[in-house]
Amino acid sequence: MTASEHFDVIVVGAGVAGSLIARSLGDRGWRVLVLEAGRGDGAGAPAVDVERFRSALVKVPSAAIAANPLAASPDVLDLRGDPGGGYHADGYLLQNGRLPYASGYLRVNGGTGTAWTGLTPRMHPEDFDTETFGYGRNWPIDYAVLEPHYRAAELEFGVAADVAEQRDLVSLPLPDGYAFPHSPVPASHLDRVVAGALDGHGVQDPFATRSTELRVVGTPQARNTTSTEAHGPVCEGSASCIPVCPTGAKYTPGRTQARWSPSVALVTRAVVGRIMPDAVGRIRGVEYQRYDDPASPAGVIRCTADADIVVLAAHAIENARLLLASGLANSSDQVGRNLMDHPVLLTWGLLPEPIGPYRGPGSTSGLEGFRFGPVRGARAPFRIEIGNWGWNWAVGAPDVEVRALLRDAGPTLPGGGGRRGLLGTALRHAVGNRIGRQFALQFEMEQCADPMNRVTLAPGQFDLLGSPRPLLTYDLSDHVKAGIVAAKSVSDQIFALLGAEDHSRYEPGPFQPGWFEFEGRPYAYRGAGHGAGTHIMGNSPATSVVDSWQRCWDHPNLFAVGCGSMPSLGTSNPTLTMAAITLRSAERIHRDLTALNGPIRLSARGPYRNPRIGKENDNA
Amino acid sequence: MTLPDTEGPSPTGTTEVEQSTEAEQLIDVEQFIELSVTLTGFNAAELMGTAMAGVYHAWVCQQVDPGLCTELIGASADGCAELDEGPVRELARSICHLWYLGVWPCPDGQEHPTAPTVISGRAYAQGLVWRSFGGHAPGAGTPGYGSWAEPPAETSGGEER
Ligand SMILES: Cc1cc2nc3c(=O)[nH]c(=O)nc-3n(C[C@H](O)[C@H](O)[C@H](O)COP(=O)(O)OP(=O)(O)OC[C@H]3O[C@@H](n4cnc5c(N)ncnc54)[C@H](O)[C@@H]3O)c2cc1C
Ligand code: SF4
Repeated sequence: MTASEHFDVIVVGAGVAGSLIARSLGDRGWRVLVLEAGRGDGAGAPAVDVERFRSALVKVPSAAIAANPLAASPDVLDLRGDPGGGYHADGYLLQNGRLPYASGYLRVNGGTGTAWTGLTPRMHPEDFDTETFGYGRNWPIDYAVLEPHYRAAELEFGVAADVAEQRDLVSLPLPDGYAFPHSPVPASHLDRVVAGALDGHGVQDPFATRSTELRVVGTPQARNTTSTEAHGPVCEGSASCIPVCPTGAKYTPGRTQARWSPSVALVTRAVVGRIMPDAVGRIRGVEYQRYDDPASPAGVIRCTADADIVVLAAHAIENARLLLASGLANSSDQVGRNLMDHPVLLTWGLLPEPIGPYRGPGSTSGLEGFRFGPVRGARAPFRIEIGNWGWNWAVGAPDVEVRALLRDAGPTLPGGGGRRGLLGTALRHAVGNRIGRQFALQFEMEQCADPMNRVTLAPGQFDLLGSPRPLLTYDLSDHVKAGIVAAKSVSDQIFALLGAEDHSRYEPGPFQPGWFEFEGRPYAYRGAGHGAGTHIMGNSPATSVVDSWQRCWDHPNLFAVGCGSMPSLGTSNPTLTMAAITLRSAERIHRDLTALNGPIRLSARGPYRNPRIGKENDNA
Repeated sequence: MTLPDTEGPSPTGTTEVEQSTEAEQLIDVEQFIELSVTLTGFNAAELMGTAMAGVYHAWVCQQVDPGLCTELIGASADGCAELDEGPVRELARSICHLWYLGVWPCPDGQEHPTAPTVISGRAYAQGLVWRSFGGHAPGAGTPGYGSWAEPPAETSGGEER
């Protein structure tokens, strides 16, 4: 192997976190090498392709990217429920927990941020401090410290939201005079119908002493409501935000990458396998493998790269896997532990009138009344998203619905049909009537840090590049299950107010791997894709992996960034908060680099000349 | 008459067929559309508007025994509600499935079941299911900023024939 080129910073992973770090440090003149495992260097066919999504049989979050055996993307289809309860996991992620970790992530340039929905609520000040309520782990920093970084992240993402609404109805402290970069996304017709039936009514949460007033509130989101120079085109309502926005109105890391300074070099198809320490625990650089074609592992080239600072930004599960495989950063024994997600209870039904599902962004409004307050000590708090895409997530409609109506329509359907199902105009009307009235509610539970929920390395199991595969051990606590019980009860009352027919069914079997019974009743949860906690942030090297700058306590020049650092998620989709802490980390990294190198002169560094670095070691 | 389109293979490995088969000479596109009107509840203009008729005609003729197609045409001459259970009704379902979803299903009771086949991304986009409730196939159109705030479009059509 030839001597490797030296960089100021190596960033592992070009998702949201890695792209932000590279942008921030590139802008300050540092020479940054970004190593990205997936495809998508801008040349040739797009790695994330709307046409691939259209022609995919099952429209899952990974449907817009090509299969890549050398950098596998765990997918929801990897999980199957067993007939009598229980599950099996057949994909890249191995699992041995009582219940499954039910989320995936994407390994492609842009990462999971290519396929995310783009919902960006802030965490609430009390979410950083759940120990007050008797559970979870506190953050070493609070909302006030993060506030300016929240604003910076909102500017980068182009968040659309209403300041007054966020202040008054979510009780978020927002600075005077603040305006979100975009005006709020219009509420969907469904949101309006739901608001009309619910606003001002009370429902009884079984864990609360008083009833909770319902109020439909717009959700902040990284989606353009006007076309701007900074953020790109306006949202046209294509309704495929997961897994690919055809217009570019939804924020993806590609937008940040387009503004990288010339001192940032991206190398795709570069899978990092190990981080290399020196004798005293400083990090020298990384080892990675480059491939041209994922179908021919024989053509893989081994490379190394050196840097003053290494930043892991490969997703919570991959960051933990890399640290464990390298035997680093784990004096606290917390690496891989505290794996969290937002377990989601779905409820779905038919409204009395057609509302026009499958239109616009995946969710435009929610109900915020179950997120806060002392009752969260008794049950996990939750946020309710109103789902604009029918039963898509719940049962995979409309295919399932069409198939059902063609076969066994049941005697109660308009047009009769009986056991043989429908054809002709009766079919047309029944399909339109049923799907046209579909709606779903998504109850996203807070799950707190539990050291027993963890990522380890699967003994004797390696991926095609020879790296140990991740083994997940996951379960839901009674605190989360109590939240799910409360959510179902709230849902029942909401359905009654809406006059909606409840079609939610929780049964063991292939499509509900997250099925379980609690207090004699069946439930099933899905994963929100919000993997976190695996390199948890804290005040002390004895109990946490990274400090509040996401810097590994054990290695002063190694950072692990992303949701893996978060000690709690609250009930907010995590990426905005993750971006805020990551922008804050970039400032620290800049200061650390300055201390190491002295202040740099931007002009002296100049652009990085050879972005095809991996080729340099071809004949090594 | 719109010609079958000539998109290349889709990433799932499927191709919109276009070569003329023996079956296609037995049942021409007009007959296929007439049959499809009866089965789907959408009128000829609506079906033609999808520009998928030629592709689906060729596909069905290639996949299905011509005798069975002719039988279905005969049996549904006076409407399809009373079609008896069996291969003929199963074919009627498959043709509807194709038109509604752009996917050729794996028909029930087949000796060698195959996975359902997505005809193409365009077939998905043109699925009748979306029109049945006044919507658009996700990721296949730009209904316009704020369109989701409006009540759904009228879904009239499909009057009894
Ligand atoms: C379906 C879905 C919907 C979601 N919706 C929302 C939402 O609405 N709001 C929200 O806040 N969050 C949402 N999320 C979560 C959000 O996508 C993640 O929090 C976010 O993308 C994480 O960013 P990241 O950069 O840390 O990781 P990722 O986006 O996963 O990026 C990691 C990158 O590292 C690369 N990589 C991995 N391993 C290696 C290696 N060994 N070497 C080199 N590179 C490597 C990967 O290829 C990838 O590009 C959603 C997630 C899913 C799955
Ligand atoms: S609704 Fe459509 S245009 Fe708007 S963000 Fe989602 S995919 Fe993009």
